[in-house]
Amino acid sequence: MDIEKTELELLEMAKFVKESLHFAFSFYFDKDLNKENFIDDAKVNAYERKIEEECLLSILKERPFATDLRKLTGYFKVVEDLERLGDHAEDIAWCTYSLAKFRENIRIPKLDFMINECLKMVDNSIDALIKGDVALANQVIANDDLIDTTYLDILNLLPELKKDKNLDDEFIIFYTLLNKYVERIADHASNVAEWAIYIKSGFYKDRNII
Amino acid sequence: MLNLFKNKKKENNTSLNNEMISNDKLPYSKEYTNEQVMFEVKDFNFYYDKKSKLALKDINLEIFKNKVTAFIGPSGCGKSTLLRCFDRMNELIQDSSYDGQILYKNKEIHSFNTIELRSKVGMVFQQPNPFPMSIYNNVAYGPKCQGLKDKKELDKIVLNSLKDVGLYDEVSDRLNISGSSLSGGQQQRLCIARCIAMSPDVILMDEPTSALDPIATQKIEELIKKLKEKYTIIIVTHNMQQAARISDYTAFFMLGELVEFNKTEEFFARPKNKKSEDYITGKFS
Repeated sequence: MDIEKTELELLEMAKFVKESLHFAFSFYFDKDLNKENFIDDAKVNAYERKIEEECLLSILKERPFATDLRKLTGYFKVVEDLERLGDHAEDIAWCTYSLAKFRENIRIPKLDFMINECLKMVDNSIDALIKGDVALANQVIANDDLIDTTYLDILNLLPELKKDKNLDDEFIIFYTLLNKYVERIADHASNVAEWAIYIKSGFYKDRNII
Repeated sequence: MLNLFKNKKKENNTSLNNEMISNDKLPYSKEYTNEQVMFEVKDFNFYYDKKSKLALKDINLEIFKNKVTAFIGPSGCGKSTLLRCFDRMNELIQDSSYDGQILYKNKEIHSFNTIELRSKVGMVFQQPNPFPMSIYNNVAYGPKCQGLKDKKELDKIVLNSLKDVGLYDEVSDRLNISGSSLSGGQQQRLCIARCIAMSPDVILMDEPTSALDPIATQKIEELIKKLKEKYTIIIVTHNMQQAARISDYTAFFMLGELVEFNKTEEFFARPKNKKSEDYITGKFS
């Protein structure tokens, strides 16, 4: 069975997506416009299509059971979240690039905190997927509440910031988008963690599927 | 996911703790404890060649009424041997012997004479084996042997049996032609009709579809699912997908031992034994 091959491709994809997000956020932090672009959305999409096709073909040809069935169905689902994470790496880079054109350069400590927490969630969810570590996956899922709260705090903070520092509307819009993208990345990291648990055990969210 | 606008309780997806899913501590319910038992195998060993070859070792197993139980396992694991023990066919093999017990409806199978037992426990074999006689006489053979002479009653049994196996519409205009002239799938359904003409409780099936094409196989599988409403079925199969599709319970054998017995859905999704997992995922054969 070709599951091992598909598994390796999934791990390559996960690693590439993780590095893309690290690249995007390092770009946000240093705003170095001369940085060589690492993000390659077409590559992520190609991984997604290839893995989906391989999973479907393996299910068709091999009629798998037990661990093999959980792996193939889990991989088929998790690539969707990995692909969305890849999209958001591009979104973060685009927002950063758009912000770089403004004279203002502010830092929002809460956003910096949220980004770092979010990156930890991404790293841990992918580690949990690779190692089948259920405890680590559960940590990721539990952390999503913190991200949601921080997101709302920042959302409330932005109008005040605009007023206090007399910031441009467009500037605030990009920060609002950035804030939302980070929150979405954390959501997708949680989803990856949920699929990691499913692949390991057959549990998805609150019940046993297979 | 963040829910800004709806005052809906967030979906609980974190309730799972690590201990709950650690492999063998899973809280799987054993829903089958309420099933009615048809056969009970107790501390059963079976030997070939004057006890020089142990074919079945310490088997303990229950077969439930109106359920399909699949026996699976690699060749030589003892699944067909056990199947043939239920109707005492193995006792025809020279130098074979056994110890332990098999209870049929709470009575030891040796307390029945073989004719009585085999009228209640029918067998369908791998190769369709219609008797060299007409379709009608194939089905009527068993009841006739039991002394039934009433033509109307025999007609009724033949008609119902052929209808039950879905063969009647295909052969109703040629009941007098030889059973051997039918296609392989039809012959196998004729053999099942011959079996159920005796009104058995149990039908034993030893790889009943392995000699058939996919369409005939599908018909037999559909038939098995229908027949379990009236009969208890035990099927030996090498086809794991077939076991997963049609059986309610699965027993996995290896080297004469019963490795795992479980509800089919659980067996193929979350086998409890590492050997079962390795077998169904093709790690060895």
